[in-house]
Amino acid sequence: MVKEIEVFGKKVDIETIKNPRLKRTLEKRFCRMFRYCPDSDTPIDDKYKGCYHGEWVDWKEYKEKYGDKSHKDHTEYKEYKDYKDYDDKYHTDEWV
Amino acid sequence: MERINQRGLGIISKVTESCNLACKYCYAEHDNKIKSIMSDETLENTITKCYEFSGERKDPHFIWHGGEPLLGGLEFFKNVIKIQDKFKPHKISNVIQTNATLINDEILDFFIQNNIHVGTSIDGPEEIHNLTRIYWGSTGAFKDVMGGVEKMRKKGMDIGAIVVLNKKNVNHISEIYEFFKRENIGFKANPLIKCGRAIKNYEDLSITPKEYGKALIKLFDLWYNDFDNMNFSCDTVEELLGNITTAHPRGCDFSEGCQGSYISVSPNGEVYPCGRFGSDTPDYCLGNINKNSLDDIFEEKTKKKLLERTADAIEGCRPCEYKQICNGGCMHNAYMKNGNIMDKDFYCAGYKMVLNHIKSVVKKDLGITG
Repeated sequence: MVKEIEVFGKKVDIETIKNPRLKRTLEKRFCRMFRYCPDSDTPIDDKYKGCYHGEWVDWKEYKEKYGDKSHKDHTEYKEYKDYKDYDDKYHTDEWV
Repeated sequence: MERINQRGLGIISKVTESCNLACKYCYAEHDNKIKSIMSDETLENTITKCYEFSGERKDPHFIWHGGEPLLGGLEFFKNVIKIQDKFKPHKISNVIQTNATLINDEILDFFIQNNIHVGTSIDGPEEIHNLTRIYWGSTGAFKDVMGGVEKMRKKGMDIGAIVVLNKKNVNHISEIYEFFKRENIGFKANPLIKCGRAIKNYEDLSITPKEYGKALIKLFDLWYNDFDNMNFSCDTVEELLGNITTAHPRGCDFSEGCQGSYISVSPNGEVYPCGRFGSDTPDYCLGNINKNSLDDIFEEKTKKKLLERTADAIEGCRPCEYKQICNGGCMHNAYMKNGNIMDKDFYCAGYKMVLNHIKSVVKKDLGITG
């Protein structure tokens, strides 16, 4: 799946971003948004796509599958000690 | 509407207002004669009431602050864990913000064993740090701080630091950045907060919003163009970059409704909106954890007023293109300007400078015109 997000009104494939600081910040952000979005105070637009346990998924698909449950309610999430643990397992190598 | 946001309630618990240091801008204005440490009763009430108030789904996280929290000794933190253990399987989450001078191996082993994260405060390399972060009697604390950092490093602990940008270091951003990079210590750069001892020393230490903005731009450029060690972080500018590119702000200064995220408990149990408010802002004392329930505190009229502070409620913020990015900024920074929390953040002009800069850099990098 294309890791497409919207920045300042332009659709951007994260993989095409040349500056590693910008790329990594956006990857972390969209991943984090997926962790928190289901019952966050912050509304998440359907247009955003994010990283879910290493797979890039569409927010609409996520919602259809899990409804409004948060990651905390998923058995998969319980495998990880905390966000850092989850983060380390799935993303550190990609970022460096 | 839920009163606590998704991440759960953060409790800034001030173990003591005493300190072995006498930093020139400390939140706590104390004379080092009052040695009171948070009592067992206050500690028990703080932890118990916060878990009970948080309910089943949202785990509170505790930020142990001061003064110097390690003046409470290892026994204090053993008691913390003992009380928190009663609330398992709730997640237990603790961070301690220490000046690092009192750290020893026994304390660190306990912190590692109980997953207590440690943050410290360093204002830059030795000659800069020692201008503001000093012992009683004015001796600089740098060597002892770095001794504590070294002990943490030997134990393989993550080390993070807060830099307070003030008149003594604001024009030394390159030296500060290079120092933290060399030491591989991730850092946040906070502006001077006018409270506690900083009120007395404000003329000598204060920075203008433009000076802060200029410093953040310099910091952003250094970090954004530095790929030597991608694990080296400067949270302040990374946070601003993430906030403006996603339009979903994070960080206590920028999140909408920080009052759904934080309270602060002083050593005697007084509850304040956050750690920046305290005995020098008695009008913002929301109650006492030993006498009041958190339900009562969240229903208290001052707390309700704080919960209503949004960018749209602040006249000066309504026309701003960044109002969704900063949400009016920090209410204490507004308060420090003229005593009005319903005003813009004192550092607003600086945030606009750095956000304009980041937007321009990112647009150029992504080939976005207009």
